[in-house]
Amino acid sequence: MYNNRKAGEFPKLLEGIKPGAAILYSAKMRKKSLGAGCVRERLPVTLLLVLYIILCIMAVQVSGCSDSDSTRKERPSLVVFVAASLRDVVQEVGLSFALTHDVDLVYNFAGSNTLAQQIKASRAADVFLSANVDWVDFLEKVNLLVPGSRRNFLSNRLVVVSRKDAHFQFYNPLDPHDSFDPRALATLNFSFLALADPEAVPAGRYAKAFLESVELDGGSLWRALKDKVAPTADVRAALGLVESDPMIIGVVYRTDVTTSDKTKLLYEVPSTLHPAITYCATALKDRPNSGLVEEYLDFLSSPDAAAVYKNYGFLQETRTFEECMLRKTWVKP
Amino acid sequence: MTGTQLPTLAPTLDALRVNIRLSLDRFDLDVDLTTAKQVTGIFGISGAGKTSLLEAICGLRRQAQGRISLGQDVWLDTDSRTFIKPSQRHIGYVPQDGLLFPHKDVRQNLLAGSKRALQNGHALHQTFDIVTFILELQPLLNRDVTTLSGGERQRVALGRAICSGPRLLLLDEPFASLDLALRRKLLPFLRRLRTEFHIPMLFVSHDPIEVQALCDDLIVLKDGAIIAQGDPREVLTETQIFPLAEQAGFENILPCRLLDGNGSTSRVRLGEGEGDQSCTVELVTLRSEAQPGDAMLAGIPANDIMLATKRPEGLSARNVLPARITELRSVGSVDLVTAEISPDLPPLTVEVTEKSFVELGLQVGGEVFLVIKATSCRLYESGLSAM
Amino acid sequence: MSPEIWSVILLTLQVALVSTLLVMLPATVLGYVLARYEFWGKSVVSAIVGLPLVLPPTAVGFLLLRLFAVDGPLGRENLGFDFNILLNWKGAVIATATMSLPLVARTAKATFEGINPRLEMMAQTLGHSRLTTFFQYSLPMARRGLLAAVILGFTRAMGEFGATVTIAGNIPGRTQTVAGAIFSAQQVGDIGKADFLMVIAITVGFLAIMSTELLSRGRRLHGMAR
Repeated sequence: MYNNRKAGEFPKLLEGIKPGAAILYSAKMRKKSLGAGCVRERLPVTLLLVLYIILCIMAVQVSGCSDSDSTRKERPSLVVFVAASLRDVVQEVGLSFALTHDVDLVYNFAGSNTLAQQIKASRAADVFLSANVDWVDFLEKVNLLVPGSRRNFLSNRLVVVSRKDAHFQFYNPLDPHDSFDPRALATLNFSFLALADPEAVPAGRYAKAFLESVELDGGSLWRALKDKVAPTADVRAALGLVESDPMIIGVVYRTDVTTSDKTKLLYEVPSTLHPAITYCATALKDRPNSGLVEEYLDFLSSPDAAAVYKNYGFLQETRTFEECMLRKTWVKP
Repeated sequence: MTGTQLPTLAPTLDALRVNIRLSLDRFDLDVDLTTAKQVTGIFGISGAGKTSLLEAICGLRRQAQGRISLGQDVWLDTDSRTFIKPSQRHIGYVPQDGLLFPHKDVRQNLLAGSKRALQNGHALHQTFDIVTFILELQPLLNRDVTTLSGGERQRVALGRAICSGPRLLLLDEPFASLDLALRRKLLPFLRRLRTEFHIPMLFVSHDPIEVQALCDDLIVLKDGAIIAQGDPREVLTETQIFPLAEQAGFENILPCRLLDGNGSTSRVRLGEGEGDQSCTVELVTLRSEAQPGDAMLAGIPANDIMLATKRPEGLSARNVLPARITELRSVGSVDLVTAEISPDLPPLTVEVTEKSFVELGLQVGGEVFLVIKATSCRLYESGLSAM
Repeated sequence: MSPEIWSVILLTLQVALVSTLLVMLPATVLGYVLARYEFWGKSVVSAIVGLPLVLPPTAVGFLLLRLFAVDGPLGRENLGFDFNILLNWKGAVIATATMSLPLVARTAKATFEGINPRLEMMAQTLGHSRLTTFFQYSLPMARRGLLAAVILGFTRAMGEFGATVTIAGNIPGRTQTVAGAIFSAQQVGDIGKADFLMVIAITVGFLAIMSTELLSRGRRLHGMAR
């Protein structure tokens, strides 16, 4: 499920390793017993060096074999570079896509910045799914995008969460946004507010923006809660903090809560209170199978895909570019 | 001149010529030596440059300038920019610390230089057998070298050097790290090697007894320069050198043959020859466990001999030997009298105070009696089997 | 164990083995040269060799990425031919080799420094050339320490992530190593898979360090350098 190798191809890898390992082992043994000193047991130095070089070449060849298998396919393949946080959702959408299209999907999961650099250096990707609009801008500036192909296809929400057994309770499933007054957070009795580091991590920046947009007497919610903030290296670490202590609440992505069964949702932050958390998809230029790429990108915006996104806590992005840019402060309805 | 001359059956040996300069910590090594003897000793106090000299001859000191040659082979010649690598010089080097290879056993260590030996056409197997026999290494052959005692290690190091088919052997105080008794026991091994293999040897030692027992020629090194060269006994008793030798334990060394033992003493006949030789001088010495008939070396310290102008009577000393004075010399605060017991024997050096010298009216050519206590005479194994 | 986890482990083993094999000899020779020889610029060389040890792995990865980029100094446009090491197993091997070479070289250097150089000098006086001395005396005498060095390098290669993911990507089936799979799993909260792979990684690392400990203790018992 998680990669495109069929089960039957694994033995080839094994077969490659076994003789390689055997030769490696015997060469090591021979090297160890070398230098016996007796006239009869001397191995010429050149012979050993030649043996070593042959061994290296063999190892490289064997590795090369098992890799070329995946490129010797009759089916076309699409190389999709995906932000790591989208791993599961994209793979599942890809499965649906592969049901109706004759294609091999090859994924590369990493941070959006790494992926963008790799694309620029290698020109080896067909599609780029980025968690951050900035990195798509980066590739656009160096003219690597197929013009007009970029689109925001996915969005996420910020949520305030606590541990399941905490005594906080103000999530109304019937009316998640408007009935709760976030100013109440200022007087809530909790020990720490766990956030991804607002200085470094996007999730943290969004959380801080949300808190700053809620006005209180004498400042903003952020100012009131600043001293209780526990910044973490990334949003998953913030989630970990929340899971560890019922007195700690946190601001994380909605998708993080979906995968965690130890937390409960307290409040879903209106998306206008922080910069849009939007994921951008784009096609890259000078690649084969451009028709297939277009179909794939369209599929990402299809209703079938929307259903999958919902399961994971994402939302299919339907806002326009202008709507994404819209920002407000919180207003009591 | 008769030294402790062992039978040298060798044909004329290639001359070793070393003329080099090498900068060391406290002084510069500046040596110009030529020798064609089988065993040439190098004597000197610690730090005189002996090890550096040997290493330079091996080719391990690249900063050495000058010329080194053995026979027709030129190993170093700064003028013509010749430098032969150590691996191509066919030298067997036995350093003070043995340097046995820890990852090989004794047999493999002995054969470590076998490739070169075979390339030079040596009869390796024969040499190996002879060496293991002479150095009594057979029971050790399969041992791990890290389990050997000091004496055993040095013997293996010696054997290894010889089995590598060298044209020159360099021994750098091979027994210095061992205690005195052990060194005396190992001396015969060296003498046997000398007789069996006619490989020229440079033997570094600060032990006057080893040097006299083993060397045909002696060089004295001080602060990097040669200050004397010649017959070992003569050199050691030279004016400037005798104090050093004395401090290091100088003894008169005489070849002899064990006659019998009695209680706490043994009786030996001086001289190398068989029973029908002309020399019949006998000496009573400290007890030795050797067999009657064995060839031995008798060692008598110079300051343990008394001189008498008339044959003394009523003395406890067991040895009173008539001798003729051949040399009188002053060395610092003591005087040295060299007296000959017999023309076939090396002369004895006796240390006397200045006063006795003048009081007894000693003169070259005069007759004296050498009075030697049995307890002053030590016997050392000679390494040569009874003939 | 599911097939994809099995294939991730196999791939990691394969990359680590090939990388260690390629690194073995150059690193040993480098360690020997640094231990025994003095030459102009030696500290510079030593520092360059040690760089991957002190730089963050991702920094090394980005350096390699820029080097082999299509428009980089070793890229297709400048050289005329394509090394083709980006985003495939070759890149993984190069990344892990770059990160583990300094470790192996330094350990080798320390090993050789612990061997009395006069032993090698003795081998030379017995008629062996420098090369023969290295292979028949220096290497065997150093074998325990060198084996430990190789094991360390292998372990480093097994656990390498930052540089590998940058230049070879994190492509399941092609370049996703155990470390990459752990990263991916953690990013989406797949704790079960992440934990399982962590146990594998910890076990391998533990066994490797244990064996290097045993090797070094054995050396002391035997009393090698004399």
